[in-house]
Amino acid sequence: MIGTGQHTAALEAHSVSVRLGGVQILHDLSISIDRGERRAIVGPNGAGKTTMFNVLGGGLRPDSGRVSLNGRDVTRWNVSRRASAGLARTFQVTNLMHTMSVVDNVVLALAASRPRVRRDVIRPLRSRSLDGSAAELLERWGLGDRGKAPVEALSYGERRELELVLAVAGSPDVLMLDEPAAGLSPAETARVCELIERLPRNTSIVLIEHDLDMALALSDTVTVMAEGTIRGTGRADDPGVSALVKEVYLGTEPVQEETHA
Amino acid sequence: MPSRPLVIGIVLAVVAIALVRNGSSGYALSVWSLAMVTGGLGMSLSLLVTHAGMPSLAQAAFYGTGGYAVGVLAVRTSQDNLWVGLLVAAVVAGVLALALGAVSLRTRGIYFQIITLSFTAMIWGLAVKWRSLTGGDDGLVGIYPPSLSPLPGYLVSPQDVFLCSAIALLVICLLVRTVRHSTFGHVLVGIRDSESRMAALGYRTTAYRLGAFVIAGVLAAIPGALLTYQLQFSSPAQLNFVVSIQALLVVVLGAGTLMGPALAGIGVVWLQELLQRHTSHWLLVLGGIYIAVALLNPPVLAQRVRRRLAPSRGRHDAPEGSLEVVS
Repeated sequence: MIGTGQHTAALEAHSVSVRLGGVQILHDLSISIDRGERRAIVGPNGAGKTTMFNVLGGGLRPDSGRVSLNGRDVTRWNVSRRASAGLARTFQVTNLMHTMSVVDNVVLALAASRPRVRRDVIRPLRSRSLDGSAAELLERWGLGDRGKAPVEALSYGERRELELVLAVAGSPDVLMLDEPAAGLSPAETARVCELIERLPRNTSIVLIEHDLDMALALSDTVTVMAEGTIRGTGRADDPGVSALVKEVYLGTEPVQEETHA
Repeated sequence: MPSRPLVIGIVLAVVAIALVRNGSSGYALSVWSLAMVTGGLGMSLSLLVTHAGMPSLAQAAFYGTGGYAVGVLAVRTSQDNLWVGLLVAAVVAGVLALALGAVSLRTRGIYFQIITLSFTAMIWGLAVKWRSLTGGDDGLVGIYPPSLSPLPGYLVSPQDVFLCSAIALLVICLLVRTVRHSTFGHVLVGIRDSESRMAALGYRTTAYRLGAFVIAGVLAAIPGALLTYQLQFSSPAQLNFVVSIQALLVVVLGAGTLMGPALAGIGVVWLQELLQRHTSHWLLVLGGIYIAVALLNPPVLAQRVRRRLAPSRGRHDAPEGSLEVVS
């Protein structure tokens, strides 16, 4: 059923292959994320999850295959063009404008989708309209009292939360989250999960996550990856999915093929 | 509404300019004029190095191009208006920066430095070889003081030359400040901090870096043109890569602060002047001082001083720039 429906998927990769330094990282991989779908990608280290993210996001051009966003072929589009077309992401390693204040980070994220503001060489970054939206956004995400703090003064958990705020600031159609809870304490993880659950339902989410419980809790469907291919996709509550996960992580014997359905 | 530090800064600058203009000998004024020009060169480069994280070595190319633009204009076309000269210098340097930037911005870090240095060497070579336009090694002589029309008179007395250079430096400082605080300036800092994050937010980062490169080139051309008017002479020395390195040094001495490079430029010129007066080994001493400064790491030092001065205010005082990229 992957990528063959009549409707247009929000984000789709079709027969994508990537070789890096003579090693086949992704092998004829196809994946399709529906509008509003929440999809978890699980699989052991080296499965190609982040590489697939980079191909979907535009940071890496595949050797063959196509990528489409909202039905448009974006294979040759770079990261910023795909971002402007509604694709947002967070990074596995915290990636913020670290010398700026929290609110400046958010204002820059908001300004990105306002052509007149983002190119302004004269007027100061901080204007009333964007300041208001930034404060509102931070308030809604529980960082309301941290606006003036420099990013460097944030705790690790707060930085991961700010990453999420930046990614959702432009109201993207598709949000790709690369291990949003990596390195967080259980309490912080619970908080990030809560924030992700509160995202608007019409935003498609693709989530890379090692913590299977978290992946299952946050997603409708789970895709299991190993060795650069997709081993199966199924509903989060499908017992076949858990069996497949166990297989790719622990290397037990193959499970039945019906998880592909 | 201009902020209070801005008003205080402008007032202090105007007072300083008036004091120097009325209280200095003709020779001292010529040193002061060179100091203003060097400050302007440093400010132009600081936009790239400090705020955008691009340690360009092409700044001499734009500085020298500005100088040759007014030189050629004066000698080959007899166009002697200051304002026309400055405008032409800015436009020529801007076009050159667009062309060089489009190529060199494909690279990063040390490769960016190599390619910008190579371009500077090429422009220098062009100036030496293209005798019919530039006078080659001999440079362009016979550049007369420009007319200030529609203002009365000519830019000829040391007082006026200094005043003009000082006003130019003040304007460049205000322009760099405006750009730095603008959305565009914040995007540059964002790209310096994390280009991948800015791209993921939808910013076309290469276009912004090119924009910064062109603005910096245009801003370098103005002090370059004024130097030619000061010396009444254009020479390949102004295009020498050593000028690029000196500009980078001025930026580093500026300690990552917004106005630091202007003060550092003035300081470097006067330091050199005073050392030359007292010792024939001045280059040795100057080199030693620069090495000591580099070891002290001015941006870090400035940050420490700032924290010491305002430890409890808790305002967000992120450094204007980190200069690790230069090393």
